[in-house]
Amino acid sequence: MGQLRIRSRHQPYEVAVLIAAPICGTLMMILNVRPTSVQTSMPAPIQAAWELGLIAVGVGGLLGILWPGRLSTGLGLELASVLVLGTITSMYTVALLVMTGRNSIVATSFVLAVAVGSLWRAAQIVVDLRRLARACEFMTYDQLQAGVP
Amino acid sequence: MITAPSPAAPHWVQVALSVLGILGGGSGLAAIATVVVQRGKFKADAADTLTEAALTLVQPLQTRITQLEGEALNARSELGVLREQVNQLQFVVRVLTRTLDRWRAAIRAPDATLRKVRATVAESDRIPGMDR
Repeated sequence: MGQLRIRSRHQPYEVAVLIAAPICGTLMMILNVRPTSVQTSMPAPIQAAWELGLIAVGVGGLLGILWPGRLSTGLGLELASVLVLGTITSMYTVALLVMTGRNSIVATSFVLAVAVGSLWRAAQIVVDLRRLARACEFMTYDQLQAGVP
Repeated sequence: MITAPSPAAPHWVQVALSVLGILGGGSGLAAIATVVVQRGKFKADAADTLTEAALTLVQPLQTRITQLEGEALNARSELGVLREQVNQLQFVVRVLTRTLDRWRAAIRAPDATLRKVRATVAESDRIPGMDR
């Protein structure tokens, strides 16, 4: 019988990135500016989706982390946000790589790190959700109720 | 950071990024959909999520508690019996002390005679509760 360990959802790097993402997206939208690499390497609709995605990811991710209801719903929201965040940052990494090459080694590395971290976190959440599902399968709700008189 | 941006990226980059974006967005939506569809699997709320480990801890604790409750009940009834005995013994001690005082007074009396002392002792033989 294994132990059920759900990892803490308040991970500083993740939360910081999730807070930064919607700010970044909103500022880009308000000021109507985009990184040159994004402008040149993505078709216009994908650019808009990319920008909206940043906002959605931040809001959704923070919502998932702070979700007051079911743990599984919160984890699901966070999983979706983190997956999309990984996608968005991967896209930006590719754009930077192709457009600027060796001139932006630092920026590319950090953005790539965020992408890798996001996908890593997504994998963690998938494992946690599996464990949670197994734990719920292991005990019926009656057992849960009986366990806590 | 961007020193010499090319006016337009190669076509394959645009295609690749579009595909990547669609795939990523799709996977995000799929994740939400999966969790919503499989919601039934997660019966417990966050608050009453009992882990397997916790359950294995709780069950022995519950049996232990019932054991201890039984023992506490036994101990309490035993305590009642003992208290009753103590009460009886206290009564006996009081009676004996009183008898002893009376005898001592009879012996120490200035006009004490063997007959009077004997009379006092014979009198205390009739005191109830002393036959125990």
